[in-house]
Amino acid sequence: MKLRTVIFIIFAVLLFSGITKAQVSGYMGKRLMAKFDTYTNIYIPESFEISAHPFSIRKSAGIEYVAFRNVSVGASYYFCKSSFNSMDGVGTMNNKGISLGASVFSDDGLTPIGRFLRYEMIYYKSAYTIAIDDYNDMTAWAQNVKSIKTGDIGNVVFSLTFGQSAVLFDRVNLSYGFQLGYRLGYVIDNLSKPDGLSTPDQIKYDIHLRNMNHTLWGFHIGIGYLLF
Amino acid sequence: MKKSIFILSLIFVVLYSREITAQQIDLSHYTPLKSSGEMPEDISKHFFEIFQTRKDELKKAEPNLKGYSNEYALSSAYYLNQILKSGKLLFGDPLSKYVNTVADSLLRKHPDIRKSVRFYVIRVPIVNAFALDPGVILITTGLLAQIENEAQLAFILSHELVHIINKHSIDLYLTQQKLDKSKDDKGTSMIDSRIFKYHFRSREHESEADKLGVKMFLSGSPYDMNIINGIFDVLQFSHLPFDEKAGFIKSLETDFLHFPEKLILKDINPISMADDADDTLSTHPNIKNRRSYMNDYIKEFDNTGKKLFVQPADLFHKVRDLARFEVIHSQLLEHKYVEAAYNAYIMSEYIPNNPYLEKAFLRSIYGISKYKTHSLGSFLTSDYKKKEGYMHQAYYFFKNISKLEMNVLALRQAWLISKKYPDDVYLNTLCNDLVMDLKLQKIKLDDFQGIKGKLASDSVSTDTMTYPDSKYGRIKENSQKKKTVSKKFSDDKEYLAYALKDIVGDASFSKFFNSVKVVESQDDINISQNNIFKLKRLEIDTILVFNPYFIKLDERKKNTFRIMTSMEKETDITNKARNIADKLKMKTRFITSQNFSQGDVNQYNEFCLISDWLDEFYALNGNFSMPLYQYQYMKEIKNKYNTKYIDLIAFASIVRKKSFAEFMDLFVTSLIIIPIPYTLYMAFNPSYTSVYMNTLADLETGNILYSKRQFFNFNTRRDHVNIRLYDSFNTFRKTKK
Repeated sequence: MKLRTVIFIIFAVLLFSGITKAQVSGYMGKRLMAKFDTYTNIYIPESFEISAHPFSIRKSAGIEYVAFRNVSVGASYYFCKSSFNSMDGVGTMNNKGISLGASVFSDDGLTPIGRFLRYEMIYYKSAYTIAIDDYNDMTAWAQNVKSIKTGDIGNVVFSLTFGQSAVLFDRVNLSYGFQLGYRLGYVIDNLSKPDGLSTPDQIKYDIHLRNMNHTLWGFHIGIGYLLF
Repeated sequence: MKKSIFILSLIFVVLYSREITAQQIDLSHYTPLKSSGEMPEDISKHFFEIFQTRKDELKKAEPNLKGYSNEYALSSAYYLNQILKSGKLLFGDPLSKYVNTVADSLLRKHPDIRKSVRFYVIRVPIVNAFALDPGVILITTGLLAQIENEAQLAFILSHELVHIINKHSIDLYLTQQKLDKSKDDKGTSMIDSRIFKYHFRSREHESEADKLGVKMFLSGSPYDMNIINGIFDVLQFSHLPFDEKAGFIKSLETDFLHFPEKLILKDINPISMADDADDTLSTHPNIKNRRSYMNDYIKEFDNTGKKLFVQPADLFHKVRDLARFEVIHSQLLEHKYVEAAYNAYIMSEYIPNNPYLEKAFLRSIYGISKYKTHSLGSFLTSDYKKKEGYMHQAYYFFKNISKLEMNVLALRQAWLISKKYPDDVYLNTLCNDLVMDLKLQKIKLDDFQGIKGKLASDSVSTDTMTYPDSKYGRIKENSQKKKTVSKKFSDDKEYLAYALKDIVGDASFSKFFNSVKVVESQDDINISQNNIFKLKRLEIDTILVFNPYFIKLDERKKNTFRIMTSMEKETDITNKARNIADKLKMKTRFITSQNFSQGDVNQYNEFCLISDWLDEFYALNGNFSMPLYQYQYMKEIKNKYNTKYIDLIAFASIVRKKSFAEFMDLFVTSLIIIPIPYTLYMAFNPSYTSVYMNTLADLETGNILYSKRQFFNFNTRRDHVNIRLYDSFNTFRKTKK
């Protein structure tokens, strides 16, 4: 993520904090939290012969700020290494992304304690690498040549996490729950399904599918530290 | 030298003597009783200490309790602790001194028992006495207010002593345990037969206490035993006021103020003489039985030379009057205004022109007027049909009088009393409030016809008398009446136009009436402040935090109430609240029963004053605001702590049994593979319901400035407690500048 984006997010958060009322107490007066979250997903592939790794653990590091009595807003940086299936084999992809989200604590909870529902919009950039079969039609016999393809593909995921959050030792925030996600545009992608060849469109489709799968659901465990 | 030592000794004896004289009781300057002297260990000891001592004692001395000694020690120590530290207990005051003097006379031949049993008076208006394990006897002010002589008190003490000496509470506890284990009788009738058995055992104890009390103590004491019928009369008619006297409503009338006939009930309910009520579900035998067996029983004892009074009789009467004043005080706090007004009237017949009684009477009718003004009069008089004797008539009167009539009546009384006691600021506040209520009803001073100095019957001009019995005469007469009689009052309330005749002519009243400015009710402001979404601080500098409370219940256990956890958590919550207040740099003063261990009697009295204030506050129940009666006795607290805001904190944590629906949810969820870890966690984790309550109120008016009641389905963990307390305190405090 570019430094410019990080500065913008921090600026936006600080600006937001300025307009919220001081009487919002957060946890014992602490309203800003640094956090590290993980989302674990098990992907059950169509075939186990040649397949991407079934586990994916998405990790995110970010900050969260208590904006209202039962709402906190935050920004996170996501990163996750994974692999994807394609016609020619398994490719690797390195997902990096940013997210903006808001956690709404239920009526009986005061941020950051109790049951919460986190709405999050994540923008991923998947940098992929895959070795594809390249055929040379100029010769009388087709010659199978492997070539490495790389590229970046963007995904936007809307994520919903529901879970519980607690504070230990007046400083450490623990949260756990379950996450559901939907990669926006998935239905549109399926309307124009590529023909199965290793074209750039097919690779894009496979990466989108993999991203769809590993963001569809996940177990969430997070740890945070209340800064000030 | 010898002389000075003698004088010093005399002073010491006078100051520290447990004896009391009639001269020491000054009813003309009565203020609610306070405790004095050294704080008894029963109050100053911490709960855990009381429990530990009791547990050790029971293990050694009570083999019958076997495996129950811990549980019994815990529950008996807890309830003793709760009652003794309720803020209602008196020590070192004239009433306690008197009761202890009677106990001294009664137990002259039993010095060991006298040493081991402590006698206290508890400020409760009901007629009762209690024996609490181990060795505490409590006499209510209600009982002291109703008894007729010292010998009757001695009988009550004898009765309670038997409960302690024969360890009836342990026996009753074991009976309960035994019945709980036996399942044979369960469900044989509409009511579990074990309840009958339990009450039967309790009645056996009561009969034993009646008889053995006479045999062991009363017969060997100087007290007359022929008081049995008298004491049972006291118990039978304990629901009635101090006396039965006609003329209560008449006492409110003047030459200019006569209430219409419709307000006066002629057919009053007779006082029920039945004393043979069905006692199968009662802990005590009925009065008829008790009278019968006791009258036979006392014949076995020689009563010659026995006396009704060992102390001077006038001391007894002074003590009883003092107890009656205390009962009136309690009734005012509990908003039992009709009882308070009638009792104050009865007492003023015996002690005329007593400032306290006059003010208490006024406060009662002021309270009724306020309830009527807010259309809540039925709260005070809902069960008037069940009342007996003259109390029925009083209830009927206050039930049927309208809010305007009550307002005028209260104002009249308030003005006259405030003129009599001009230095009393509280009376002035009441007058002000009543005039404001009247003005809000669009009533002006001119509406009171009496300002012209004439009664309605005087207002027909001589002109009309020219033809008194003719059509024209009547036309002119009616026309004249319309001019003089105010249109403000409907025909049935026309009498109100003359109700203030004797005071409207007073220039100071007119000036006062006109000077009162109508201010819109504060209630609207408070409602908006109660809104939890309103992000505005209350900007309060200092608050008093009163006795934070915690209760832990576990529905899965036989003993649902978890005493030890509750008490430990209560201490913990108090400490947490202190820390959070310090962190927020708030000025907070904690008044809690935990501070009694320091033995500070002043702090104990402050606790009692606030505890009384809470009675009145809870009786008001946030229905409306008015100058609280108890506040006038709390000026010292306000000045000492420089605040008039009180914070009440309570937590409740309930561990629930999982319901069938919850189990079914878990079962269905377990069929899906993915959430299995969550399902397992939920299956083994108990279900909780916790409640957090925090109320910030104004001591002066009872206004609720902040009220929070949050339910959450978690245990009351440290973080839950901290965040809620912090959030509340953060709302109260002043913004940093």
